[in-house]
Amino acid sequence: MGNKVSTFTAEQLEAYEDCTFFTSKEILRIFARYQALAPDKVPYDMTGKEAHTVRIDNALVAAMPELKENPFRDRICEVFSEADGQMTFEEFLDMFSVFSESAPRDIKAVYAFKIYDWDGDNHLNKSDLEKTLLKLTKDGLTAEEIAFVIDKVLEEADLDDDGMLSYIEFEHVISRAPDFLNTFHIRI
Amino acid sequence: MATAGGSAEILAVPEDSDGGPAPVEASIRRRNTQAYVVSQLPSHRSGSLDYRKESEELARSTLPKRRHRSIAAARADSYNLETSSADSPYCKENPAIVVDGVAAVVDQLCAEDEHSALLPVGTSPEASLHRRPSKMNRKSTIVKFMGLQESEEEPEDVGRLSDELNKKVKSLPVPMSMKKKYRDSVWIDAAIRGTGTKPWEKRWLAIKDSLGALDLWAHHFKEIEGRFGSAVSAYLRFIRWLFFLNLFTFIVSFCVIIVPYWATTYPPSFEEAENPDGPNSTLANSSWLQAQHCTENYYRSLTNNTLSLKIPEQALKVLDFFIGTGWMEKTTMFYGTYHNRTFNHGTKDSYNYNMGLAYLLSMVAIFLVSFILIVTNSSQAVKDAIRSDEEHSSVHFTNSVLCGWDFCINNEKSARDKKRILVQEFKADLTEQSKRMERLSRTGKQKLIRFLIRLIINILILAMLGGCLFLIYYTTNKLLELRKVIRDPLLMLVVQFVPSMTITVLNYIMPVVFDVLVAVEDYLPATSVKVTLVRWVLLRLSSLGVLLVALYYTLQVEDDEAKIFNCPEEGTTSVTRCCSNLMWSTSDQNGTSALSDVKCWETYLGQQFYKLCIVDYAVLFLKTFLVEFPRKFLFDRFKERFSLVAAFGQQFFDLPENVLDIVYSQAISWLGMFFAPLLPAMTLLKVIIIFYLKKLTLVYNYAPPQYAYKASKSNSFFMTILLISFILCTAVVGYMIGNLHPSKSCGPFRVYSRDDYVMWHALTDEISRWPAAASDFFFFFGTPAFFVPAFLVLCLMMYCYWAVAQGYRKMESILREQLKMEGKDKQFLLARVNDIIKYGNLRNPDNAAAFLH
Repeated sequence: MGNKVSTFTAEQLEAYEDCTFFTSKEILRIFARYQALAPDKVPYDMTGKEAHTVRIDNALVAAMPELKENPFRDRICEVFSEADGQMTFEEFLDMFSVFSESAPRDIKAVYAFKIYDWDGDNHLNKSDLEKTLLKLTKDGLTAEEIAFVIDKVLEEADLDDDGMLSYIEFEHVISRAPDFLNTFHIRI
Repeated sequence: MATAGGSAEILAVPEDSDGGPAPVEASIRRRNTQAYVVSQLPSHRSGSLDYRKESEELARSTLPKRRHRSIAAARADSYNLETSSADSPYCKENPAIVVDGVAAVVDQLCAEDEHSALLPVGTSPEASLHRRPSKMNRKSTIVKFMGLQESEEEPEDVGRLSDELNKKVKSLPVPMSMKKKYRDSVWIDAAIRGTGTKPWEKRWLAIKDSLGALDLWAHHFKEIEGRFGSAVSAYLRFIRWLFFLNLFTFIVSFCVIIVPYWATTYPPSFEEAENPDGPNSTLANSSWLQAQHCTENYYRSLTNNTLSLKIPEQALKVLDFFIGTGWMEKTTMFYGTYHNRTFNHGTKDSYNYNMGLAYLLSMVAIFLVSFILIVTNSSQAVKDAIRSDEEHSSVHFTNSVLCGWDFCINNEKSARDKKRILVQEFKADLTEQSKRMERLSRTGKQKLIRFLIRLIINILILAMLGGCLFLIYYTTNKLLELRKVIRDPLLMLVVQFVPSMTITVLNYIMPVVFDVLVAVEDYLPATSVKVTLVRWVLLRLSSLGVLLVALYYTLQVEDDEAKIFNCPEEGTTSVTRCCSNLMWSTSDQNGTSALSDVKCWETYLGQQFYKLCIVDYAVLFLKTFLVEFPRKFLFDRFKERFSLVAAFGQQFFDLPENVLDIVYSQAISWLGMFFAPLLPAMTLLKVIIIFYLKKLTLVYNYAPPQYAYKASKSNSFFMTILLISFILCTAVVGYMIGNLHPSKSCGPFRVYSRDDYVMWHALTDEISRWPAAASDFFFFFGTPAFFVPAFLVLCLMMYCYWAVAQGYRKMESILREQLKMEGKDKQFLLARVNDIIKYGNLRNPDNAAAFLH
């Protein structure tokens, strides 16, 4: 594993292992994917601060085969990247850690909520839901149908009748949705 | 911490996106947390703050244009902890929402421009800091402070702490850099780093890494998931699981039955065996002689069989291979061959291997372990299914919106299909809603007509099912008679396969008929899928059942008349049973009717399952290469030219059908493995082939399923079907072991001549030979003294669990109500806060009056 030595220090790898749901092998594999996205920008040597200073465009990440068909790809990248429209390796790793199979429901639910919360106001209001639904169905439903579905959603999940879903309400539904864990993961 | 409103929290209201001042009430209405005092902080401020003053001031003013600081960060200041300056916002898109055990709290500590900080009422800052250290400013040392505190709490219990903490670190919903800081603070003590935890963990990681390499076929899942979504990948996973189950079955049967048999060469055949009890024990000797006579007769008839067909020897051998007769019948493939063998024959530590006991014990082990595996695997699936069923009505739409997308999908076409399916589903849901409405308004006459239609169709389907089953029964029964007449080898081959073919053909034709009929019945879409499925399962399982019943009647149920004459058993010239076989031929001396007899019913059964297994193999290959690939080819070639091809050519992956196929093959294996010990090996090979073939054909030939199967539902569906067929198979095999007399002409049990002997006695006889205490102990389990109390205790336990479950259910609904009420409370309080802001201080009588008004 010559790669291991030159790309990350042992401490770095250990830290990543502790902070993500990946093994060191997987981390290196993910790095290879990251590196391949912008070969001229990302150095092979990440032993310094490169892992959280070198950034690549979100557009590149969103174009990865794992994400490119995902209707929420831009939003996912937005949620995981801190700088505007750019992503560091650590954020990249974080993203796939959350989507990995071994990540528990709690952390997945948190990020799912963030992804669906398009305007970032900590609530899924009607416009958030509408945006989600539009992304899901892509002009398949008429405006009335969408409005009807959203009304149904709120009727079902909005326990306090304030016209939007708070995280608690979201979690209340998600924690019991049997398919959430199955579907909210991306294999890399 | 003396803030305005005691422990009330402070909310920094965000600006509107246009940057202009936002009306306070409007932004408050957007929040749905508990009571807040609205505050607003001037930009560029660091150090401690006087919140009371601030908030009073802010309550009246409008929002400043530029960024405001998070109160939380400011509060951190009041704890004399380092924070960053407001100019270096530490978090842009990170409303750290953390789930914390009972109370999931929406919590945002980072604030910049559009973001605000909310802390719920009643959460003391200490508590919240303690719980969620990582939400602190990323440049702050509070993380470190926290970590140290934690590690100081339990410095001794390093292993547990580290394990727990590690999980905690991983599960923090914050960026990596924060996690790393938190982790570093946890690990800051070099001593802790050094103590045995790390190496252990490393070893564990290494093990996990190498286990990852063992993760069989993992890379295939990704491809399939990307194209077909998680439900189809769950199907492949199910195949993989069955592969492991079959591997286990194969290993057990191979090690316990086949290897000892192959490893020992004495006696080479049963006729040459000596009576292990010694030539002088008269009773044993008589049964021994009987068995030898029967065996001799049986083997002679095998040779006769072979000679009766006038075809070249090579062709005959091939024919024998496919129907398991002739030379095949004498191989280790079938039950009949096995007999007790001796290790180290002739030396003084020679040891007689009790093949019957080995047979029984291996079956018990296989069924027991399979049962445990299936139950543990299906319990989760069933739980999920029940849960989703319960939830189906209450949060169905929410689930389909929020869990609708399959994040695994990475293929353009499937993404498009998935969207199409989602649209379809939503539309179906909507029509279902309207159908329900319409149904309510239906008149009695319409209802009656619908009821009649359904009744007729159900009768029709039952009749068809009955017809199918009769066909299977008839062909199985006729098989023996036909064997007598047919001389042409090819026709013979066909006839031999008639029952298996009938079952297979029906399994493929009937579902199409069911599909057509269910459309007429006018069910709700979801119901119609279920109804078809039930009919399907019924057909599959009952066809196997009928085959067994037919065989049972042929082989085991006695006619009144005695018809056997030349029985090799001593002193029996006119009996119904000969060597425990009913179908012992009447005239095998001249060889004319040699083909109609069954001289070893166990092997005969084994042959039937062997043939079913072979047909299953054939169907698998034929279906893939002669149907699926050509159809795809035609579709691709002609879809533009002929609309008919375009309409029917596309193949959609049908999940239930494929699952039933593989469960059916598994059921054949379970039923047949007692009589054909190599059947598990065949099934194991078949499962591997199925996996690769299905993957191949999925990738090349199929479009994603038309109906959006849910991964959780399909999982529970697989497991339920498997469990049902397993229980049925166990019942059948158990009955055969416990109630039927083994043949005296073949198999490991042939030396026992007692008339009431059943295979199970091999085990009980062995136990009764043990020391009295041990055997008494085991036999005690079979007595009512054990049985009745055990049954009662089980009933009691079941009742207890049921009662507890009821309690939880009630609790859940109460908690749900409470959640609702709290939400309402929140709104009420929020409205009050709004009013206070509108009308100012309540203590002012004018304002109070206005407020009350």
